[in-house]
Amino acid sequence: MSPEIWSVILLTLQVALVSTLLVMLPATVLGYVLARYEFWGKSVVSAIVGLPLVLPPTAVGFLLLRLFAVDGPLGRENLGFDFNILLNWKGAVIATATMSLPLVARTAKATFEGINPRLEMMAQTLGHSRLTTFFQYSLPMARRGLLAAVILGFTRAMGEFGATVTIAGNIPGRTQTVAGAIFSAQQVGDIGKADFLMVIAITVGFLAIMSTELLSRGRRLHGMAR
Amino acid sequence: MTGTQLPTLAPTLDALRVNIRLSLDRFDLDVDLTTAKQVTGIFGISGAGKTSLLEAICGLRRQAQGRISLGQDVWLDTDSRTFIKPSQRHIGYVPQDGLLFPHKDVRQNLLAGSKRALQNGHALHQTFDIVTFILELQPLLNRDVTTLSGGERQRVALGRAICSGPRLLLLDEPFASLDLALRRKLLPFLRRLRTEFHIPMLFVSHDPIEVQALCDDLIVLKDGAIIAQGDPREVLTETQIFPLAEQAGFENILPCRLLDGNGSTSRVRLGEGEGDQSCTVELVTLRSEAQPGDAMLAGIPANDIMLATKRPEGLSARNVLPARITELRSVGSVDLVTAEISPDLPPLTVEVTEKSFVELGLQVGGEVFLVIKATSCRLYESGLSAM
Amino acid sequence: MYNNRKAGEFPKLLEGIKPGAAILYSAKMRKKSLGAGCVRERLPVTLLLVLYIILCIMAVQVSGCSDSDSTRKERPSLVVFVAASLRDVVQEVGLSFALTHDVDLVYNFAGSNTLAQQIKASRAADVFLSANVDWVDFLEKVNLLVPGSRRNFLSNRLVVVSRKDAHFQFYNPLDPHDSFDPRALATLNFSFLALADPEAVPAGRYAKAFLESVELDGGSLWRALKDKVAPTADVRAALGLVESDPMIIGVVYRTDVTTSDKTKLLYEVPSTLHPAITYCATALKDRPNSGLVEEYLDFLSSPDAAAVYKNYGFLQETRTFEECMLRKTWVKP
Repeated sequence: MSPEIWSVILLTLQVALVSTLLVMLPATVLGYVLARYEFWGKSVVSAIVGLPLVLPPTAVGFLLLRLFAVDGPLGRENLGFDFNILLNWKGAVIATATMSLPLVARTAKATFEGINPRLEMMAQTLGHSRLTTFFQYSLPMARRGLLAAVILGFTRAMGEFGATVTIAGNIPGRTQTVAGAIFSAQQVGDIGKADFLMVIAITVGFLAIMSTELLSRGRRLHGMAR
Repeated sequence: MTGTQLPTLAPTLDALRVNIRLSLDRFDLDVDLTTAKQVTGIFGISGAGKTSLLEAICGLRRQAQGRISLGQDVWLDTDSRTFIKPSQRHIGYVPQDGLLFPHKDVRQNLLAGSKRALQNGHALHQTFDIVTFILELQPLLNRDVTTLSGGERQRVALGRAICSGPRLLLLDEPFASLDLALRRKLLPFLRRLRTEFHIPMLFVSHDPIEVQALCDDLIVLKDGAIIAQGDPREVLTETQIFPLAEQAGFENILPCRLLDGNGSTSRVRLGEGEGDQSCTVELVTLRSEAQPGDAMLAGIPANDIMLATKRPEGLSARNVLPARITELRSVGSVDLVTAEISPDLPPLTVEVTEKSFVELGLQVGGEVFLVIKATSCRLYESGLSAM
Repeated sequence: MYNNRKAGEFPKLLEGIKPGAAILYSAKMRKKSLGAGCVRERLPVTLLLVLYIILCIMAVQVSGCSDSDSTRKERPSLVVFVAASLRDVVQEVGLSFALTHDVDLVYNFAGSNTLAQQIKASRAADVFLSANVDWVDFLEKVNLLVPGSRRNFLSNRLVVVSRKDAHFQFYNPLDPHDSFDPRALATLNFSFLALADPEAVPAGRYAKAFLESVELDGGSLWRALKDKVAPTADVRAALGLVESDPMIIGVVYRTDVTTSDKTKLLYEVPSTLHPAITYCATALKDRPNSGLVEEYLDFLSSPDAAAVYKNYGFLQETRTFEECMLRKTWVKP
């Protein structure tokens, strides 16, 4: 494997890891709130959170690009300081985080919905505050499903292209991910490189989905929510 | 009045005052109760609002309006907008479905409320040891809770509630999901807990036997309102309540001590005391596997007792007990005769048809003989060791 | 070769990842074993939250380190936004340029429309190499170009191709344009004519324009062949169709044929029969190193660059603006 392919893979891993790490807690909390609470405007919030799932990734990318443009609402001219996330790894992280957060949040929500809320109520009657109940009861009981959610989010981050290339560019050495390298290779007919990278992408995706399958099966065997 | 009074060594208990209104599906829960007894039973048919009442006391029903207090602690007061969160109410709740935490083993479940217990200054380790002993949980401590049987799960749920150092225990038909034989076997555990830990308890049940065996006070809930409160036996035999109790399997409950067994029967001496007590009435019952000397509870269904105005002869029934009528009452299509065998024993309630009532010319104060077949008497473990 | 990182810099990335991954793993393990319930094993919730936040900050810092390396260079760098189809040819030309100039070339490859939007939003590019004149016009309208710097530097040709083992044969290497009568395509025995979608993709539009410019009795070549057209999502997909079946012919770019060894050239379309396929280069305003940018742009039009373009099937653009606009219909010579 040539050094530049290796560096592309490493960069993709790095971006996906950082993005998943940043998304993990907010998405889990969001999933919990959507699963357990009713509040005014809940469906609106749920819809906004789900948008990146239904919009084409390039559309999301362009939205972010307009947002952080030099003359955009979060740009240098309007805020006075520069977030400096366009065309560098920070943009890549933001793009992948935006695309994977809804996936993690929805999976987390489904996981929490599968846990009997009366168990949390029981923890409260035993003297635990809402916060403690969440960390010491809800999370551990949901850990399999949450792990699957995080893995899904990581996989999504690994494969993210449309939004990433738009806001972070496809800059070899800086923001060129596996998906970006495949795109570039295909555009010029470099089939060998494209195929090789495809195999990598397929392998990673396959392993990830397999592990989520195994995790969910394990849950059924143990009979979690009682 | 003597009920199945177990020795209560406790000092005076804090009074629990619940005065609330809560909207439910088919009716509104509107309850005003005060109790300072150790075990207060809540009796009623399914859907009468019993679970909602317990959950409201726990603080899990935010829509409840009114006032709830235990002693000096006010947990809910709508007028002054006071609402103490469930996690701060120091209540041990044992729901019908146990709700053990699947991600912890038995020991960890038992200690799930340990933080609060320690904060309240409870001797957690001692309590833990006593609870595991009384509820016979030692062999289960490292087991995964999902592998436990129904009875074992409920015992762990009970133990968990007690180990959390509560000021009040709420038991919501903890054994309802278990079969009858198992429930009878678990009754002694509850009685032992009652003796050992002087925590006030609200015990919801639709089983008249459990209620009589365990409770010092009984409340009957119907369609969200309290329709009776008082001594368990008296309340259950009240006119409007007796049909319900009968349907749920009412039996007269008498404390007794096993003397010996012979073939298919056992012989017991009625009364709680030791051998030198004044009561010497004996009863022949169905065979029990308990040891001679064990304290037991004898259960006799009300419609399994015959009355005779003269001592009968030549009957197959093994028990003929003289008694004095203390009360006569009509309940729907049947009549209830309450007769006392001895002042130290709870009176027995006998169900007779209207005709016999009039034909025999029964009167309060009159002498009658209670004729009871051995096969009508069941023995239940009492939970108290031989003294 | 394909990026500007030296081999020795990779270990830094690895070093950054390893401790990060280790901490991530151990935190996950701790989170899992949390909630043991026993008095002794309780972890305060706040401690865990603090740990998580520290972990996030560390991850961000580590990533930031490896990125700032590339900006901490002594050499000046030129950021070149390049249409994706020009990846290989531009990188090779860049290598030659870098031999004689002390510069670090940083590329960004994407579709011309994406690149134009990115330039407008970020103002982070020095040079824009676009596959489409329209997008340079777009940037000119918002006043982001260095005046006078734009030029058409590269051009491509349309070609008609088939699979190597197909029985079609009418390419004369000695006289590629004039000896063949494209009207013969109307009677040629093929199953499908693969094109990039003429409604959406420039390559398809050019192909359709070419076919419409050839007049036949009762219409144009396009009208005659319309029913046999198989439109594809992009020109590379059209090429894929041709490669899959010897009975399918296609209209693609000359540069596509150069990289494919499964196709053969049937006919090279005269450039006057369709809108000019021209690639435009321009410098962007308010950037440092403007002298270097000028040298780079000049290099793109130099003979050295022309040689590289030829290898890939491109042609250095030598036509004037007016010549580019010239359109004709096909005329039998």
